[in-house]
Amino acid sequence: MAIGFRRKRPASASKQPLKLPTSKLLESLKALSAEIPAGATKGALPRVARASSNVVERLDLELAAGAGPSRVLLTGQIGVGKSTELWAFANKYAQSPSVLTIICDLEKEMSPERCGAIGVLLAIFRDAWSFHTNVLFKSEVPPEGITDQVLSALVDWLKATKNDKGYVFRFGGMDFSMDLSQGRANLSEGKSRIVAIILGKAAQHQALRERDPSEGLVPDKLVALCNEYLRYLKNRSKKRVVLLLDHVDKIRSETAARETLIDAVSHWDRLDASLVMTAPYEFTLGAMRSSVEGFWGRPAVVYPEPIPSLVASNGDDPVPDFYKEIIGACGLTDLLSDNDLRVLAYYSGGIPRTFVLLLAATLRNAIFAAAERVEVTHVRMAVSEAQADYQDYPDEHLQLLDEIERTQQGLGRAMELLRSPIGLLVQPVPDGGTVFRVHPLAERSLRLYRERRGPSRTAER
Amino acid sequence: MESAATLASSLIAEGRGVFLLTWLEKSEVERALRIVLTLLGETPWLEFLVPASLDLPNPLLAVLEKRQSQDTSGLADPLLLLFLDHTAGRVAGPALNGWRRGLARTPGSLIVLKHNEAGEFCRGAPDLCSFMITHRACADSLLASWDEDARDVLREAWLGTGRPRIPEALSILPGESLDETEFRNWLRYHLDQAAPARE
Repeated sequence: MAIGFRRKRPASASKQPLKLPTSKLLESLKALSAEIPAGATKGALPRVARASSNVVERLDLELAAGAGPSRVLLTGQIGVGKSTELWAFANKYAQSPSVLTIICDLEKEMSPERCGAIGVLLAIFRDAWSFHTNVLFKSEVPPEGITDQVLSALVDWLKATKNDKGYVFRFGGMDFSMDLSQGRANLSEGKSRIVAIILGKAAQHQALRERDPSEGLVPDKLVALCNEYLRYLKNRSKKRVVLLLDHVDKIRSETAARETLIDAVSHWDRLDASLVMTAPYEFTLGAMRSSVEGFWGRPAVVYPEPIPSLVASNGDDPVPDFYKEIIGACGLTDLLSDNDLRVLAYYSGGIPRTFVLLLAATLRNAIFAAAERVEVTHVRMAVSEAQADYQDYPDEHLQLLDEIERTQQGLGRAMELLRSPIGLLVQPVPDGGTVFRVHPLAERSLRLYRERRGPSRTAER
Repeated sequence: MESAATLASSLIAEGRGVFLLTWLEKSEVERALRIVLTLLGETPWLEFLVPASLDLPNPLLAVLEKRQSQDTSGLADPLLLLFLDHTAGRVAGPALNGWRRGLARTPGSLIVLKHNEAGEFCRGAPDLCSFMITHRACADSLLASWDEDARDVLREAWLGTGRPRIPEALSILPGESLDETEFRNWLRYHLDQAAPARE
C-alpha cells in the first residue's frame, strides 16, 4: 500500500512561508547543527576539546605502539561525540607526511543497523576507492591493472552481464546499466567510475542480501583485492594507511555486531592498514565484552562531559569551558546568561548532541517570542519539551534504571537505557573506574515512578 | 511544541532535521497538517505511507538512498512527509533508523504516527530519535495559536476561494476525517479571536 506522490502547493495557497524575525539568534540557530560532526566540514561547529576523554591521544598511542597495523574500537553512548573525535584525529593527520587517514562511513549504506562484515568491508573499499580520485591524487584514477581486477571481481560476484556499451548490474530488483565511455575522456576513467558506482551500490544493497554459504562471511577475493588496493595506496603515497570507520556503532542487530566485531576479525587482520572502528557501546559490554577485547583490546571510550550542578554554589562549581566554547562558537556568549547556560549544560547530561539540540530549541523559543536574547522561560520550555520524550519510558526500564542507580551494577542489562532517549549515563571517575548516573532529563520520570511504587519502596532506599 | 504554527516555524527556522508529529484523533492530525503545510508556503513536499513492514516502500527507499548519498542538498528538495501506518511504530523504527542523514537533509522530514506507537518507534530507532529531542509535537494537544502574519496566510489560503490540497495518505489512515466545513468554521472562529484557544 505504498504511495509516493508529489504535491506542490496549489496557486491558491500562500506563496511565501512564514517570515521569521531576523536576529542574531536566528543566525546562531542556523550555525547550530547536531547532524554534522563538529569540525568535520566548514559549515559544522568547531570541535571543542574534551575534558572527560582523551581519545585522540589514545589513538596516537595505539598507532605509535606496534610495528604492524593497529586495531582499535572507539565507543561511547549515542550523541557523545565519537564521530567528532574520529574527525579530529583525521584532521590532525591531514597534512602528515607519514600517515594517510581515510574516513569510511557505514551510514551511507542501507540499514546500517543490520550491516554485517560484508557491509563494513564494502564501505572501506568504496570510500578508499573514491578517496583516490576525490582527495589524494586529484582527478587521477587508480591504475588500470587494479581497476580491471576489481571490476572483473565485481562483475563475477554480482553476476553482472556484459553488453555492447559496458555492463548491467542488478540491485534491489532494478537493472543499472553502466556505460564504460559515458562522459569520460578515456576507458580507464570509465572503468574507475563504474567501480566507484558499483562499490557504492553494492555497499548499499549487498550487505543485506541472502548470503551464498560458500562465500563465508566475506568473499575472499574481495578482501584480497581490497588489500591489494590498500597496499597500492600505501606504496604510492609512501604513508601508513589508517582507516577510520565511522557509524559502525549504528549496528543494532546482535548477530551483525558479533559478526563484525568477533567473527570477521581474521579478515580485518589481513588488511594492510590500521583500523579504527566505532562500535556499538552495548556490544562492548556484557556477554560479548571478553571476546571483543580479545582481538581489539580495551576500546577507547568517549565519555559524557562533566555536568555542572543545576544551581550555582559559591563559585566553586563553574560551568565547564566545554559548554562555554560551544555557545561562543555560535556567537551566543553575550546573549545567554551564565545561569541559563548552566541549566542547559545540566540537562544535557554532558552529551554534546543533547546540549546542541536543547540549545537549538531554546533559540527557537526566543526567536518565536521575538526576543533579542535568551530568557529563562525559553530555556525552561526547551527542557520541558525534552523531558516529554521520557513520558514513553516503560516501567521495566524505569525499574532497571532505579536498580542500577542504587546498586551501581547491571550495565550489561542496560542496553535500552544507554540508547536514546538516554536514561543512564556512564561517567568516568578520577581513579579510572566509572559510575552510573541517571540522565538529568530522565530524573523527573524516575521520581514519578518511585512515587507510584509507594512509600515502602522509597523507605527501602 | 505549543502549536502547529510553532511546528511550521521550527521547520522553517532550522531548515533541516527530522520532526515527529504524533496523533490520537485523526481529525486533529489533519487539522494540524493543514495549518503546518499552509504556513510552509511554497515548500514542496513529498508524502509516503510507511506500512507495518520491515521493508520500506521502494519509492521511499529510492528517495532516501539518493538523499543519503548526496553531499549537498538540491535547492528544490522536498520536505518528506512519512505517514506511519497505525501499527507501524515497532517495525518502522529499525527500518528508518539508518536513514537519518537522508531524512534530515534540507528541508527535512516530518514523521507522522499514532501517539501510542511513539515509544516503540523511538526504541527501535535510537539513533534517529537522538536527533529528535525537542522536535516532537502531539497534534491533539496543539493550541490554536499564531501571530498576525500566520493569521493572514491562513485566512488567505483557507477562507478565500481556494482549496489547498492536503496529503492523500490522510485518507488512508484509520479514523474519522475532518469535515471541510467544520475546519473552515473552526479556523474562522479562531482567526477572529484575540486570545489563543485549544485546537
